[in-house]
Amino acid sequence: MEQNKQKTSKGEVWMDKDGFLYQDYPPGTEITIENSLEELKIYRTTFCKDARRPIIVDISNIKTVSKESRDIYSSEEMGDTISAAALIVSNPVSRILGNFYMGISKTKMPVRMFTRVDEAKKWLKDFLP
Amino acid sequence: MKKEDPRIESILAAITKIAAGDLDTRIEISDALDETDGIATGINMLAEEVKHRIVQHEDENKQLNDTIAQLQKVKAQLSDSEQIFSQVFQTSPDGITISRLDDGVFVEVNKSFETLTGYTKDEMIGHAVYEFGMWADKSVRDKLLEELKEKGVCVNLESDFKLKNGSIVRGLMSASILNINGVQHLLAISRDITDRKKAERVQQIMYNISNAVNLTKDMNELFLSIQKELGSIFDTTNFFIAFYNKENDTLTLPFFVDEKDSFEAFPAKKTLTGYMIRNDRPILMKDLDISKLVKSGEIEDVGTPSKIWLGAPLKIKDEIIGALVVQHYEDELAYTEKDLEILQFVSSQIGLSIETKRAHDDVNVEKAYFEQLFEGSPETIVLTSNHGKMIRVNSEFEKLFGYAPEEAIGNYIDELIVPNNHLREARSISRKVAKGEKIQVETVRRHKDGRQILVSIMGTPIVIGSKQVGVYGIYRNITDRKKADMALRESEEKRRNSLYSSPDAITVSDLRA
Repeated sequence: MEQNKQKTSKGEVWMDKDGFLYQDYPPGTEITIENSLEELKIYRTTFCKDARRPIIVDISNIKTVSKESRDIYSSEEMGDTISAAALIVSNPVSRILGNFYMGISKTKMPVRMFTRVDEAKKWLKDFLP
Repeated sequence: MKKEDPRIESILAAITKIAAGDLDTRIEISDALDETDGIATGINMLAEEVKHRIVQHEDENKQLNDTIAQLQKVKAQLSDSEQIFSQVFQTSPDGITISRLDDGVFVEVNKSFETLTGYTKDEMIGHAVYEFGMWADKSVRDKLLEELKEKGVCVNLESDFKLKNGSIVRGLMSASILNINGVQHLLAISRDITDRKKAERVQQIMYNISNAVNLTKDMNELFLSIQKELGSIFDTTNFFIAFYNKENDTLTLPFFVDEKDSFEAFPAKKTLTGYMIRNDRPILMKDLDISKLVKSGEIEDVGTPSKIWLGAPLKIKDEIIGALVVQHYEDELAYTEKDLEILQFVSSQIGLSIETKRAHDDVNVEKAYFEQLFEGSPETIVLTSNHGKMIRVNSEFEKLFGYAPEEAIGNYIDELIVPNNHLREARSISRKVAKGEKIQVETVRRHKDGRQILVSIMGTPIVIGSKQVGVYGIYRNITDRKKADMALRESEEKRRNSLYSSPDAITVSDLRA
């Protein structure tokens, strides 16, 4: 069951009954630094006030992510908020984005790419608080 | 022919631009999000990353250049500091050393330290300070290390240091801890203050000897004091003071302390002391030089030969009154040229002190004579100021006038013992004596009980130099003598009256005729 589903300017965030966070975006989304900062704020103030939590981010609908946004995702603040991230990819663009995120950006938490949510949850459960 | 995807054209154009350096070039991503868009996304992101890295590297390069510039500046400053330090280190008149704190091994020493200790740099570098036994008192080094651990610095620590030739010098040391390449070192600055200390000691000795003139009860005590004071600088086991009599060219020895010999007096002519007096200068001589003088006939062997002899004439102004001599029978290094200088320096003070003491003694003898004469006199003696205030009276005064000395002293003599009807005459006498005139009168004075006493007075001015400082008066009771005179005169009168009034004829003949 989705709890506290919140809309962001470019998508939605929620937490399921098991404590997993979810983030997804509508088709054609272009992520800027403002969007990333907004997301970080919601994670910290709404879902991860008491503990770090794992997140499943569906990046399949994202078209571009700016360099500054990628830096926010790999920042100390994000590492202090999110315990692990599973990126759901379903097309070449999202795979390239995921690879860049994992390869070039040095994240402060474990990050992996999955094509299926259930596999992602399986991996992430070890990172539940 | 299959129609080419227009996005490939865009990708190729973008790659060309990016290769030319336009890293802001971006390829439009379509909604298809297919492989072609994936390639475009990858190229976009790579361009972004490259741009970011270039900016980052430019910033880092700029920072690096700034750091290099700063380092070069610091290096130049360090180089200047090093040069200054090196110059100070090498040219300092104080001995400077750098040694490791943990084991005391010398890392660097300067020229002054070589001169100071007698060890060469090569002998010291790589060896611990302990190996040289430089610290005469190891507890002082412990104190230094303790203070360094506590405060990191130690200033003006005095200690004795042993030199290579075995002699001991007094040093003043300051030290601080220095970190060289992470290893703690001791930077120590040492100064030889032996001469300064000796000079201070000499000043003290001169002061003490000068004081001893007043503090010692006789000449022998003064000589003992001089021997003790000089003994704090050099060996005075064999020590004598001689007085020189120019008239008969002899030396008398009022103070003679010696392990081997004993003299009271000897002719000056053929002695080393006499030789020194003739030449009018202090002498430091070893046995070989003394032998040469003996062989040349200048002097003769007197007493046990000493290994080293040090003496100085004692002078008052330009006149030699005697000599002060120390000698050692075993150690020919017992005295040095510096001791000679010191002896020369203090000998004038010693001569003056001895002469002053002699004068004091003479004064004391004179004073004793005076006391005997004053108190033992059968006459009444009074000392007054020029204005007649009594300064001192002898015991006869009380017998004659009835006033005890403590009653009389401080009072004016005319007010105490002159009857009212003799005040004018008494004042006249006082004025005359005050003007330096000697007087001798017979008059009347008053006893404490009011009796009038016939006295003869002899008043004499007391003059020191050309200045009259008081009056010396001798009073003699002449009442009995006057009465006897009166009785005699009355008896003669009676005899004369009976002779002329007799009815018989009386003749007086001179039978010798």
